[in-house]
Amino acid sequence: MGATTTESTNSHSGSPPPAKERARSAALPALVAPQSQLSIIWRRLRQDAFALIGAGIILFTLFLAVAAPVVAPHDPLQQDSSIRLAPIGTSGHPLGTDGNGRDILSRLIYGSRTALLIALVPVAVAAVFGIAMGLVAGYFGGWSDSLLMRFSDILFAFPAVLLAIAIVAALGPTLVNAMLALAIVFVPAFARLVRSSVLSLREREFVVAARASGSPTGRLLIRHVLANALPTVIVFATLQTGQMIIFGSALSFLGLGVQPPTPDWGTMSNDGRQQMLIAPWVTTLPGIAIFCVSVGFNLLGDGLRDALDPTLRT
Amino acid sequence: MSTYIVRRIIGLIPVLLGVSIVVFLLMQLVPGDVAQALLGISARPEDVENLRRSLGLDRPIWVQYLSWLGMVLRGDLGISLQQRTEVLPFVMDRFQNTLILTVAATIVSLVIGLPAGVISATKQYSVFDRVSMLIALFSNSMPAFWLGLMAILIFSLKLHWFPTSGMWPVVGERTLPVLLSHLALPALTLGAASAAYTARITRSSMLEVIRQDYVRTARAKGLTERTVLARHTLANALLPILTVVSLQFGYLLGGAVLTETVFSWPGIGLALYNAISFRDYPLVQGAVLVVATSFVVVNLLTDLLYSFLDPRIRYS
Repeated sequence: MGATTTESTNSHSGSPPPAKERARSAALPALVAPQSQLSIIWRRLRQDAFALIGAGIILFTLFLAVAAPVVAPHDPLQQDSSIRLAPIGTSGHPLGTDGNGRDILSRLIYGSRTALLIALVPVAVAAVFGIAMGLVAGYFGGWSDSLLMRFSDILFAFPAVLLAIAIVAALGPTLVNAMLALAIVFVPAFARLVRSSVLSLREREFVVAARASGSPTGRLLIRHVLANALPTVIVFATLQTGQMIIFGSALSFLGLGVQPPTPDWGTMSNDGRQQMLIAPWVTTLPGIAIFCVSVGFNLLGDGLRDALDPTLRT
Repeated sequence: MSTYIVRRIIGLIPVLLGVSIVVFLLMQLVPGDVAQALLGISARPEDVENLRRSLGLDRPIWVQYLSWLGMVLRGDLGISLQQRTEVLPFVMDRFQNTLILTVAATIVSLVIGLPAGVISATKQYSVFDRVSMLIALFSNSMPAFWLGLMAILIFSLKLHWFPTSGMWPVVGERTLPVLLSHLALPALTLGAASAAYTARITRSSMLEVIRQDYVRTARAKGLTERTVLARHTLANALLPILTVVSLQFGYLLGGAVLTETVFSWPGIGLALYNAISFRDYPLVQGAVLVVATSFVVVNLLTDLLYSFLDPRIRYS
């Protein structure tokens, strides 16, 4: 990530930062030696215990998703009518079994795959399209900007979950359509975010200087404008992923996302609804999994935001 | 002020037109033939062809849109395939129940979120601040459908404090206490994430204002902390909070689909969910259109309220 400039996005426009923060930033060599923004962020992030916990949760989930066949004790689809609704702590099934006698631990481990897929793919797709649209609209302005703003005005007129549900309802309930719907719904948010950072970056000295020195527009947009807008986008994308885990599982819960018998946390929660009184773990455990991963992304996102700009600390 | 209101209302027209185009195009996304989808796979080809012609599906798409829009403007959203009634009266009837739920959730959100945010901001980095922000992060990370199911499990099935579902009992009187007992769990479920968000926004908005010079001046004048907090800090912090709460209202309308499904609350969200499983496209279309339109109107009302509270906005 070769940011050619050492411009920090810290504006410090308002009141001076708290004493603790002043002391820390005074200790940063960034003020004397050129240092990339990302290494400053990393340095701050390393000291944030909550953010590290969040990163740990995410890495652990990624590991489970990749290593599912090795880690899972059973085949997540294998039904066994002799051990239906076995409680937590049953030998051989530490987290019990569901109404079809399938091992819940194995289904939870495999479920991490669809949970991450239905969150990360839409965020990535929305980010790519949103960045492209935001860069063009923010930098060139004119009709491209008006078009983006009107387009996003219209999409923002729909509550996000509702629009995603409506799109999936029309396209048909599959995992791919659910991801597509979530991506479409979140493009305008990314585009507007990038647009607003580009608007402020466009007039900064280093961009004006690069333009004056005859840097080709594409190169200027990517190396000077995008490189400086990227940290904000990364923070937003991380926090969005935390929300997308919930949205994705909600679509599956409604039967509009991942389809049974594929193990998925949303559909698993729904599976257990009928037997909630006699076997509450069937519904409870997948929800805890969704919660943990979402917390992970939210903790990391908050940490990244604080590391990026301590004045925004909440 | 009145010219501002008129200007804002005129500005709504293109957005509402855009909304109508999106809702119309959504139904064009339905794979295959709409007439076939409406009649089912086993329908005879000549019936499908007749329905195509009577629905006007053989005409160019923009003609179809305009005639559909004309019907919508006359309040005709078609006939629900599942309910066998007109879509608009049915949707509006259900929408009332959703409004009851979302307003209750908004009250939950404000009653919990606002004081929590104010106390957190005035006692920044205190134990209360840290704990409440952690709770806010947690409830923001919880899927509403799961929270609802847990609430049913604990407070209805185990403790028998509240009914498990619905808005009214099958038999018995329809009194306010009965309604409230049915409303409590769905409203708390729907309002939880929103309360978390309100608390976070209130806190950061208050913190921003607390650092302003005029707050320091107010303190220096010797005003009591209570006066400084109420007259100088909270009054100025309320504007951004107001925006967020109104945006949350739209979020709540969307979230109502899940909460209503879990609690069988007879609102527009449950109607939409049932319509989707039934492939009742006119009802899906009508429900989405009504929710989106009401969201646009709520946003307009917020903007107007905002400009009423802060005259600078009208002139910019």
